[in-house]
Amino acid sequence: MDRGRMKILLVEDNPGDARLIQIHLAEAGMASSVLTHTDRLAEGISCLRETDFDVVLLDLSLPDASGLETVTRMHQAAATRPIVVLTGLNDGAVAREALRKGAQDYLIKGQIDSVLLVRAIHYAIERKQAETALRESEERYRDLFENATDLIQSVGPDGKYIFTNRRWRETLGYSEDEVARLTMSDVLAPECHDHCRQLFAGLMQGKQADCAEAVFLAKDGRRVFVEGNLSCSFKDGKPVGTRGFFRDITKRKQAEAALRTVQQRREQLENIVERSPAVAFLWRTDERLTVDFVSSNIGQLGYEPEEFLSGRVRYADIVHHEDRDRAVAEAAKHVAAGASEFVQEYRVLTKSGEIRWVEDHTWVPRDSEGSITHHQGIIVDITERKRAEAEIAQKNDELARLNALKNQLLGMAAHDLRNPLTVVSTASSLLLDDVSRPLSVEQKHDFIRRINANSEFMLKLIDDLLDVAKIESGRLDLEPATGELCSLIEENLTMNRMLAEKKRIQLDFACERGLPPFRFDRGKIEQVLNNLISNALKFSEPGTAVMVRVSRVNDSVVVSVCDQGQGIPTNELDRLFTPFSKTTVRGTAGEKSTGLGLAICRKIVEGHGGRIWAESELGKGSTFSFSLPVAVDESQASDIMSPKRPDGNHASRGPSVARGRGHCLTGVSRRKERG
Amino acid sequence: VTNLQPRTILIVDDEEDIRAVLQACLEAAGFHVRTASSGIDALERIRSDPPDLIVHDIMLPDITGLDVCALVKRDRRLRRIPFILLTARSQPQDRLTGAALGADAYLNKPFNPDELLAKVRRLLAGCEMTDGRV
Repeated sequence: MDRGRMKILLVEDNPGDARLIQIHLAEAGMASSVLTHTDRLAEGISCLRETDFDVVLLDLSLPDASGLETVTRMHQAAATRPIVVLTGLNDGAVAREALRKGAQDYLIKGQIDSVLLVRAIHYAIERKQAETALRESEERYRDLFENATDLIQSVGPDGKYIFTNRRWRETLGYSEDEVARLTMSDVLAPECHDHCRQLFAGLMQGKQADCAEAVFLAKDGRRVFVEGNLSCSFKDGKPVGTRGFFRDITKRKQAEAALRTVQQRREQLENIVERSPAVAFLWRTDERLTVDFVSSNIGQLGYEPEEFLSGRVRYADIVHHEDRDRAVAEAAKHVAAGASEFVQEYRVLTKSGEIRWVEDHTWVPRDSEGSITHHQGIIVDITERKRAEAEIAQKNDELARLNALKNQLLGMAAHDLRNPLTVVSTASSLLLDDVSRPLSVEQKHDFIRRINANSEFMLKLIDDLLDVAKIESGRLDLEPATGELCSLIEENLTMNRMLAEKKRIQLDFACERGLPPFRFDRGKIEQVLNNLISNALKFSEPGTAVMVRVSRVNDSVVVSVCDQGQGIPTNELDRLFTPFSKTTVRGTAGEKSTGLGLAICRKIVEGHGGRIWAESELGKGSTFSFSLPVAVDESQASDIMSPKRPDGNHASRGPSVARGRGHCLTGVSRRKERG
Repeated sequence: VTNLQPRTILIVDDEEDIRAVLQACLEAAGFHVRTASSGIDALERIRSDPPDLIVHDIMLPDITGLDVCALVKRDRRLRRIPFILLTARSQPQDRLTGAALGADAYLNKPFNPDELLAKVRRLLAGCEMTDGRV
């Protein structure tokens, strides 16, 4: 702006005053300035719209406006133009008021001279420029302040808000008027009152707070998490107000909380998995079955998850080598068939090399295109189940065997009872029918004798069958007690000697001296002795001899019963000790055999931990022997109490210690039957 | 009915008791009885001096009654002799095998003596009718 050539608008209805202004301007060397004169406010305002005046000289008393209203209207129409008010002598108070309504200066008519006029014009222009600059500057700062993304606040020492920015108010939902009525503690969440009070006290003493966190309560009760820097401004050493710049970190806090929840949930789930017997796996679909995750309860197999994750241990390596190919092929078959899950059983090796059975449930998630993304699965240790299954299978086998044996025994019994029953029934019929078909006394006596003998045989058969059934089902029930074997044999011989004498058979006994007493079941061993001795008598011809010997062989006592019968074919020796295996040989006096006696003997002897066997030479005789252990320690004693499982047609041909003894007697050869 | 000569029956069983009671039973009914205790023995007796009827146990230590039956029924000279199988076994398979081999009757032990006598008499009467025609 050229100070000498300014554009000046003069709004003055008094022509004299207007003229005077022109004169003052000329005097001041401002003749080249353009002075536009108008005597109405409305006209002046319209001039301002057309021309960019540097300054407005405004009389307050105009025909269309007067007083302060004149200034107000002019200022509204041209806020950026400097205004110098021209007033009358008595209007000093109005003139000062005009300054507050937008005028920059005033001149009192009658006191105006050229110097004063020019100075007022210049002053008004300068002041307007300064005001404009200040306003613009303030607007810039206000704009920054109001539009800052931070929440900005200032709180006075009394806790009341001095100012807040728009973001602050928008975030917390308060209007400016409402903020004016708030105190700091209204906005802070209860849980941070104490902390913030301490912080505030610190600020009042000149401390600063960086990255302080707080929770604000919005007007609607929302909790707003903030983080920011705080300090306090002082004037003359006294605190004026705090400056606080906060960022809204609610979303971050919520995300953190959500993450914490997820982590907690993950920890809970991991805890559950850890306590579960199932080991969880995530495998990649590569050939190595790379493990991406394994739950730490893999420890039950002795491994650390890290060993799998690092690839030091490959999953395929822990699968038992005999099961590996099968398991891989089976899995591939399931996957190829489009299965989404499948179950397998195979063995794995623990880190210490122990073999465990596992059940593997694998799921095969596929993406939208049907490609397999990975394998996920659990493996459960089923070793105990497998063991139980094997046990059950073994028990089933045992039951099936016992059942088959029972059926066999029943069949045999049915068969072997039919012959004696035929004798009893036919002979008794004949006796009853004595009237139509008279019988001699000898015949009657013969029939009665046959009925009696066959009845006794049936009784014996039933007893033996019950014995066999009991023994085969594992209930041998031995009652061992320390006893003396030779005296038992003596007692038995006394009984059998009557039968021997009847058949004119010599019965001899030789017992080695100094045999120690040992533990055996007296009743059961007597059963064995009686069976062997009565068998020998049964198959011996009159005039021959039967010899019973007892001797010590190593840790056993061996009892042998030798006869001079016809002997037994070698191919039949093996079958002697199995149930119902009668031989072709017959009792010399027509004695019958149940075919069970030797089978029972074998069970009893084996139950004692001993052996039973037979040797024979056709035409010379047979020797039946059994051994009983004398040195019985605790472990063998318990063994004695649990009879061994029968192993089919096992041939008890005797231990080598007693073999080769040959026949203690030689004798005549006759046909006979063993059983 | 008009036979003056008593009919001869061969009893084969390895049990002496069975032989004795059967013999007594059949003799009381007026038959002439011979006995054998093994299959081989029986076969010799049948061939050397054919009986009018055979009562034969199946289970024998040497050859079975089924074997003897098969041999007798294959022999043109002997096949018309009525053959009664005795058995202590109750499996129907034996009865079928016996029938297939040509056995004329089958008796399970134990049996009623009257049942045996009825079968024996029926079979012997059948033979007479056949004899009459031939």
